Amino acid sequence: MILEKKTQYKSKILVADDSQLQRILLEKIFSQAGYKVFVAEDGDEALQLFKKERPDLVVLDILMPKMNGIEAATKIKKISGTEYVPIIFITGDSREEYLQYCIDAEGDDFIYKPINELVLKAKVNSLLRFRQLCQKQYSQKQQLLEYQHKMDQEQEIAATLYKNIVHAGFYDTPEVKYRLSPMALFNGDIFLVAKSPGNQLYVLLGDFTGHGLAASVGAGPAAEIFYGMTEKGFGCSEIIVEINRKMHKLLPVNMFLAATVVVFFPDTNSMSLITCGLPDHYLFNHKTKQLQTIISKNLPLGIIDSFVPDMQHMPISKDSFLYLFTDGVIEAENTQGEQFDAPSVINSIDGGIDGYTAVLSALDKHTKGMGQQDDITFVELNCNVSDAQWMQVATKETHKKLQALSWKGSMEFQSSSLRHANPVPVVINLIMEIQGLIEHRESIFLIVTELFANALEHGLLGLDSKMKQSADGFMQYYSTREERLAQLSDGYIKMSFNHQPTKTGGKLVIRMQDSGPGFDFSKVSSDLKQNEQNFGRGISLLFNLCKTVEYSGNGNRVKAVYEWTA
Amino acid sequence: MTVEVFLNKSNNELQVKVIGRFDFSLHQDFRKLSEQAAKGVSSISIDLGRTEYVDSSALGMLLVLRDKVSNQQSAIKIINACPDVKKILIIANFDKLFTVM
Repeated sequence: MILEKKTQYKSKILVADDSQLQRILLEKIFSQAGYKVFVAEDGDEALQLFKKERPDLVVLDILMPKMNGIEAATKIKKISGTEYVPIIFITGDSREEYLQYCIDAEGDDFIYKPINELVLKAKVNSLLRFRQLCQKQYSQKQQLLEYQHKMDQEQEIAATLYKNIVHAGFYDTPEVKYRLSPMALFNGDIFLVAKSPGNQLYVLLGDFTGHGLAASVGAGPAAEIFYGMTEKGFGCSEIIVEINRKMHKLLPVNMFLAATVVVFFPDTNSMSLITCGLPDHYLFNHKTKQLQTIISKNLPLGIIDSFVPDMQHMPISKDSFLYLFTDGVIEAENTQGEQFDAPSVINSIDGGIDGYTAVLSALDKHTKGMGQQDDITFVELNCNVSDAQWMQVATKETHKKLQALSWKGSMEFQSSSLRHANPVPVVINLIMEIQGLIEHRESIFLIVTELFANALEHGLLGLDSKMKQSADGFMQYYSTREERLAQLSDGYIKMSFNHQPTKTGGKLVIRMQDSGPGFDFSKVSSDLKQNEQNFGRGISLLFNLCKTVEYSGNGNRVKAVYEWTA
Repeated sequence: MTVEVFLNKSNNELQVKVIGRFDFSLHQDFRKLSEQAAKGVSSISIDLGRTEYVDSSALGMLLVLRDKVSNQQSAIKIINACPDVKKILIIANFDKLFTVM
């Protein structure tokens, strides 16, 4: 050991023998070999010296007055406890029962009289080496234990902090059922629920790459953005864009956050979803037994710098439940190494009214006898928004009563700027700055987004909604959109906003005009009746949100009126 | 679980074949691979024809590789993936970042 070399440590040997001649002989042998020697005349003295000097090795004669060697050895071993102190007995008697005493007293070796110096030195040498090893191992074990203890403490503190941050704004309501089973103290899955000022329910389920502490570092910032922005009335796409930006800045390249944000709109009986890399979600109507699969449309968060989320919007029925889960659910293996898999989830959901309990009990049965392999989160959202408890509880009044102002303004975007960025969020921010219609932000955002999308996609890019009728066409629609937008060389979109106070609140008139050829707007209403189709939802949403929507010109001008009450 | 790497000198393309489970255990191999890629290859083709499974850390490793080469979608090709593996790539929308064939 390094320490011994530095301080010239001499191993200490305690010798106890009632024969003076033997004591002198042993002392001489050990001192010449470079050990520090302590000598005792009987067992009692040996014990006292042992307590005082704590030698590294003890040599005991068996037959001694006051206390014999066997008794002294037993006591020395007891005092030593977990520390290993080798004991060598000196005996003149080689009978077996004699040796048995020595073994019972935990003696480590014997040496017979007359003593052979070479044999004795060899035994002492090897026992001391063994003691060194034991000491080393013991101190390493102590260090590890200490380290582990410290780690446990630190992790517990960190886990408390983590929990406080992630659950700070969590809105608990019976319509949201969830099971979170982290694999370690820290969860790489996050589940957040909040209510917006406009009385909409916001839900985020996320799964960071990996699990444990490393996976959960991004959870705090993501949760803070989610709760903070929901409270301020931002829309889900703005929240997702912000979380993506933060994750891209924060996370190492190989880490990302697969996530989905769902927003329930009680006013229109609909929901918006932005799906980013989680396994399929299922929307199940337990009355019609219809199961709709909602696939992931966007990249997980934190991978690319600028993120333009592809949002899905769909009507919800009071008989429907939405199921979301992380990949830990479908990848959970049974003892045969088979995964739980999506069909098992679907079968359980399909089976009865309580899909939540059915899936979880099937999952528990499947993984019985297996350790957990990943973080597992399973969520059921009750789509019955009109009777939901979260609907009944009024959102706390955080904004002072609005004073409607009278203002108007207009903007024109040329093809070159349209190619680069979607101007809608900026425009909405501007309106919010002027009028502070934060509670109506989501609705106004949706209206302007829809009007803008129509103007751009149908007006300027000449895309036909009918393409979206089939799943393949749907994909093709968006790839064509991308291609044509990149090549857009002329054209413009004009937007104008006119806000006026009314007796009960205010009225916002939104006009949008594009340079495209227009379309036959008499067909709009007939399209609306086919609400089951993949397209036309945008326009139906507009009619729901706005007091009036009117097309004019050759279909390239539209006027939407949104009214609000203070 | 192994990774076979071959550099096609004629077009400076790095050809990678992942055999077995593509997960965290290949971390070291991919670290070496990204170092090699960073030294300048024109493109990478990753053959997942004999890959049984892809987990999220594997997706992470692909991202590191992408970061080292170029952010161009065409720079990294993922070929021969079986339907199960392909599904995982599609769920994560990795077809927007890589050429999945």
